[in-house]
Amino acid sequence: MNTPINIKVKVNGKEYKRAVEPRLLLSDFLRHDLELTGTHVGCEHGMCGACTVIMDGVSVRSCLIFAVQADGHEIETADGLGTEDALHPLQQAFMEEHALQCGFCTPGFLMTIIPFLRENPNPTDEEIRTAIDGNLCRCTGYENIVKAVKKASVKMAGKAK
Amino acid sequence: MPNDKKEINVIINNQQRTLLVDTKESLLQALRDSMYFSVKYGCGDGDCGACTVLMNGKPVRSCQIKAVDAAGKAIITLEGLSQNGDMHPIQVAFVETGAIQCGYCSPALILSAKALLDQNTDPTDAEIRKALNPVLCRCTGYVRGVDAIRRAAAVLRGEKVKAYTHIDLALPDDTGKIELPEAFYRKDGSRNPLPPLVFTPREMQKTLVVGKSEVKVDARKLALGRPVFTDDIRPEGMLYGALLTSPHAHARIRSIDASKARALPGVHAVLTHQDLPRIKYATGGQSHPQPMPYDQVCLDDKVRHVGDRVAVVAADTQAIANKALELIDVDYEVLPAVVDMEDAMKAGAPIIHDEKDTEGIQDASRNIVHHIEAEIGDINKAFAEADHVFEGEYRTPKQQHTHMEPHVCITYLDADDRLIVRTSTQVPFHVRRMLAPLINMPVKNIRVIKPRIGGGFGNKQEMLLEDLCAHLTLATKRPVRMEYTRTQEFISSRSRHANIMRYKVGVKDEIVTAASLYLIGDTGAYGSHGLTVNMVGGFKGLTLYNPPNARFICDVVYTNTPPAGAFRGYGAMQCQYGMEVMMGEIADRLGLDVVEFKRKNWLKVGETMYLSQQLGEGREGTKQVLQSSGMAQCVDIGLQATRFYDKRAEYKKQDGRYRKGIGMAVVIHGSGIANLDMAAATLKMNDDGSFNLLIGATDLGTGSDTILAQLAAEVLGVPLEDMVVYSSDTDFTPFDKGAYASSTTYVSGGAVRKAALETKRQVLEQAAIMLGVSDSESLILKDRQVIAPDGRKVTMAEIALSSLHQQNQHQIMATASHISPVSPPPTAAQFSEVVVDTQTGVVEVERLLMVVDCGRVINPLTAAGQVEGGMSQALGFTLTEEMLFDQNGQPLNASLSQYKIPRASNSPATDVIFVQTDEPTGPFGAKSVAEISIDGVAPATASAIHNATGVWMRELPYTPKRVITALGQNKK
Amino acid sequence: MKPAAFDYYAPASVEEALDQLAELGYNGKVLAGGQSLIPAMNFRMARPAALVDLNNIKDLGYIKEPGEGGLAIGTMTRDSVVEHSKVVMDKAPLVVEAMPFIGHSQIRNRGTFGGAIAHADPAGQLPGIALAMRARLHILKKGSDRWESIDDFFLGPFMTVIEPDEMLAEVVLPPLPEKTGTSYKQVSRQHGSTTQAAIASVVSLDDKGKVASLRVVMMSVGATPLVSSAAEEMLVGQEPSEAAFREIATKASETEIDPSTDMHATAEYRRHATHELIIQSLTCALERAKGKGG
Repeated sequence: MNTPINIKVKVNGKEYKRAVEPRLLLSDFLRHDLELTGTHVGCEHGMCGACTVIMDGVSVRSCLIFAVQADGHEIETADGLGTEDALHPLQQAFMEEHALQCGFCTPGFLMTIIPFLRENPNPTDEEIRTAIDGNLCRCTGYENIVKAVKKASVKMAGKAK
Repeated sequence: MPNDKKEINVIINNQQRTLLVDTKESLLQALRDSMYFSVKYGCGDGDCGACTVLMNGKPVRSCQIKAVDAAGKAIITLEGLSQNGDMHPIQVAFVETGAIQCGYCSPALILSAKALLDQNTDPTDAEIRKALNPVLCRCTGYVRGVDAIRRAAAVLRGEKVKAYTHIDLALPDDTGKIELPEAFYRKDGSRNPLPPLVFTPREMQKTLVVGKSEVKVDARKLALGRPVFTDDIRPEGMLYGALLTSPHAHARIRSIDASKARALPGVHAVLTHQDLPRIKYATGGQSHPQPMPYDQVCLDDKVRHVGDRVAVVAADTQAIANKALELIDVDYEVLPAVVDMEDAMKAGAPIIHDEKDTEGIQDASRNIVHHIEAEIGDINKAFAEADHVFEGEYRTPKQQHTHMEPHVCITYLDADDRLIVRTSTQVPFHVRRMLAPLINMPVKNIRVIKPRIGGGFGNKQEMLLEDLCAHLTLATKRPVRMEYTRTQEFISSRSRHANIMRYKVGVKDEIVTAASLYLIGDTGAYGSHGLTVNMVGGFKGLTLYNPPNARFICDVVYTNTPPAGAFRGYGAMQCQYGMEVMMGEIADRLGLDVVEFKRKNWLKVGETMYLSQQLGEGREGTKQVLQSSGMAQCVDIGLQATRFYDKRAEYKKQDGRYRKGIGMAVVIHGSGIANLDMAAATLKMNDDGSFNLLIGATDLGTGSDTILAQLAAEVLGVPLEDMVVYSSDTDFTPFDKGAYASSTTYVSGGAVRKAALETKRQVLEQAAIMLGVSDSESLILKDRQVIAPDGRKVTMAEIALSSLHQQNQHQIMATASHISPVSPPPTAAQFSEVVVDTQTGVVEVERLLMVVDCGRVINPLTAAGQVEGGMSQALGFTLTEEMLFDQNGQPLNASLSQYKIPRASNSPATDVIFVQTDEPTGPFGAKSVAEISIDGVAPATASAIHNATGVWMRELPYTPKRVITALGQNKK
Repeated sequence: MKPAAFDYYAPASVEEALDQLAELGYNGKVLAGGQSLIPAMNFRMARPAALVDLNNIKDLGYIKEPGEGGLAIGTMTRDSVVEHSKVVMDKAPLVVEAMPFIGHSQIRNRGTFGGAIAHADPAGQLPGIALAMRARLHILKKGSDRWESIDDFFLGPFMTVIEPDEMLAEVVLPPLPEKTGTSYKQVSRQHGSTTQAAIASVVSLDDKGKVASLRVVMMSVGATPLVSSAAEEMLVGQEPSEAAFREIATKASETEIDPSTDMHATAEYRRHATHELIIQSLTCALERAKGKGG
């Protein structure tokens, strides 16, 4: 049973069939097997949040899930967020608000905030801070990230109307 | 495991490896896919030998061996020859002797040498040439490779060898009587390689780094087979592109159905003319604005030659891409084709460019792209007043460059969605500019990277794959690689313009007083370099003897053959061929000594080149005066080295089947395009006193990175090893027009020298502050240090650290640009010695000697490499190379087995002597050397064949049939 | 690959899982949410030979209200589901109060209620909460099942009474008496990081305002979460007072715990923190108990 196992995963709307070793982490699977480098790996034990992806609608640490466990599930990563021509409002807000400096942690933030805003389209600053508590950022001091989330929430709520 | 895949166990470079290979794929493919990138693709047909590896100790062509058949075998690739970067003695010898130019065939040559020396510790010249014979090299003419193997053999036998360098001699005032090293007389008839010989006028200023036979800065990595060429990287997710070419010489595409190809699993994009915008352009890489006509679009609904573009595919593997090409249904309306340039101009000939949207065709209805006329003096009066008027018609063939590395390109989008174009090009900056409109992307979003290039010779002064590859990347958002097959190199790339020359020359009192040339240039299916090549031809052909009364009329003609383009020699080679043979014929008819007749007439210092203003390159030129020439000395020295007159006297007595002959020709060329070619260079000082030299100049194997660094090192008083050279990348290096028109040493070198002088000024200024000296001009910069008048010193490293970290803090750095109002001609005398078999018509060239004045020789070994390689290509042009087509435009010899370029064993003794001159406008007195080397072999060989047989050969190449026919006509 | 290789089983039913566990014996390890196990495997501190992944078993995740009152929580119920459950908030607010201290939202989206209890991390929140709530645990093995009291459940750090061929299936939290207040207090270096010390208190008052029953659980100060006997001995039947809380805190922190020094905190600090947290927690629980039903 340590042999590769066939899995079928939907990532960003596209279905992938691959054979994976059980010990392959979802984060490594996304990056190396699917070549979706929008998911970053920062600590590999669930502390930094850089590898956050959305699994069946909720954000999870992809370094703490085996790829085989994603079989039959739906994953969203930062790679699928914007389109070629237009950034997602959240990405746009990150850019405009200087919410990223080196940008390494950004995908994890995005994948944490997207489901958060689905649940809570009009958050307070405090709620935003709580939501992003599991994501480490060493460059920005979080201020501009909170601003960006706020800005995006307004824009997205406007669109939703 | 799919059943078309198989695991094989092989021992590669003494390591057991298991490779998963396709049952159909070649060992070449499997090795490259396994990251053994030293194994090169050259033709895929087993003709060129670039893919040579050792299998169980024997050299084999890996393209001809299935990977599955290598199971259980021991394979050695070049990666296996060295350990931890320590070169094998053969590699060392290749580096030291200058045997590596572009380096693309070097792995194969070195492995062939290894197999030979494993068996034979002291091989003869003939044995070495036999061992190298399966491997084609287009750059070097094999001279230094043979020498490298002799040297390596000696080292491996434990013998001490001397440092490898050229021979330096002082140029005497009277070159009519000169002592040469004995070997240069070649009395033993051997063709052992000789080191280059350099004659230096006494008054020439001494230099330290310039003039040294430095090892090429890129030689080591090339000798080690490091992955430095375009195709030696594989970006993640790279797709393989393939080009569908036209099977017809002239046809309209009624419809294309690509649906089956698109449905093939693994295919990511299929593009036809229906998918791309119709934007007119020209492929020739030239300065803005490019010469007309803009007669191409990326993909057209009409094809104009066999090999013309029809569609492109991108797929997961090359095999799938090729399969997809087969699935594209094209419905052609085949049109009548015309392949002969004179027929093309006749009424009723098929009209090749009948489209409405091409601008700049002179007369599309007669397939005349350009009609050029230029005149100086009063030509009719001069002919009327001449003692004698001679006429002659000369023809030169369509020659293919056959650089060993095919055109290859990898495009991808970076994270900013900028398009990166990693391509085997001579003109990265032109490609960037030309590509932009075709893919509707601003120039700023395109970055062109030129890695190491496996030879170009002009064929990579064209944008041939970059646009298609880019379109595929834009369509798929994936990296895409496209590489021409060797067949496509023959039918879908470029070639030398075939020419017909009709010269008329008036002579009065042994002086050429008038000359006219009617030139027909066959540009093939597209205009490309048609205008400029033929203008240069007219200018150089009529300037070699520079009559004050001259007329040039030229028609550049479309035919349904693969387009002609830029090729080393660039018209000058063709037109000087005609003129030189004509001059020989005139001397013969007038009973004059041919050398003295030419001497009286050739272009001399102080003379205005009469046509220089009328015939620029594609535009009005500027008036130019010859300021330096070593022509007379070159001729004198060559006459003595070949014992020309002794042999001519001796050969008068021949009457057997085999006749010997000796001939000579003089030639000139140019150094860049006057008032147009611009180059820039940047120098930047590092903490340790070394410098980055950033240049847009494009080393394609020529050694330009090395000689440009030598120029900078000379100015800055540091050894060559302190220069870190980077060329070329449109994002990181300043502009340079590219490697063409023999411009790099002269124009790019001018820029490097200027940048170095400004850098030097900054270095001295910093040193003055450090030394507390008020006048920085009193300081001397040499040997990595600056010395004050009182003897105190600071080192370059100290200056660098001071400037970066301590006082007067700034980056010592300079960028300079250079353009020249003149294009000073190098001059040369070419000698050729032949044996003609009067029964079979076979001409064997036994010795080629070129005595060259290229101004100051920056690096004798690399300069000699240029001359040797140029002579080798010219030898092919003279004897064997001619692209042939049937009347329907179908190619007859589009492979390296049919189209013969020189191999090691049929290469003659190839000798180079330099006579240095001091060109006042050149960097340290340098002129160009790249192209003049190719100009003289054909006319010198014509002269030699005439000397041997009494027959004037006017049409190249001198095939046995043409020689026999000429001999037969002579008897009548 | 970060973790060492292992065999992987993903049973679709409880029966199948029990069969596999029976077959694997000591080689088998249950994979629930994996939020503690997988990081340990990533560092190769844990190298199980085989994993039996319960994530594909649909009927192990639920929150029910059994007839006898209280809550029954399926072992694979995600922490975030528990955290946001109204019924849990209503019936066992202590659980909800402790939830935000468990890692971060992404961890709780994946981590499971039963998994954390079975993992028996002495610094973990849920083992202590279960202890404070006097949980009963339903343990299955092939062909049989048993119920265990949480008081007998923990054997040591990361050790419980669950045998290799067994699995925890359900956690029952008995109903809290009326006039009961609960409180969770924790200190750690920063939110979401390892517990330095934590106290969970459950205080039930009788009609006269005296303490009817009481449980104080101390975490991260011993091999398992610890119940303070001193607290029970000193307060049951008594009028609660700040002085009494202080006395309990002193006795418990001095005699009932065995804290160790590690990179997260010194033993001395843990002792001090336990002392302070007991007072805070009891004070808070008492306030809450008083607020209920007068």
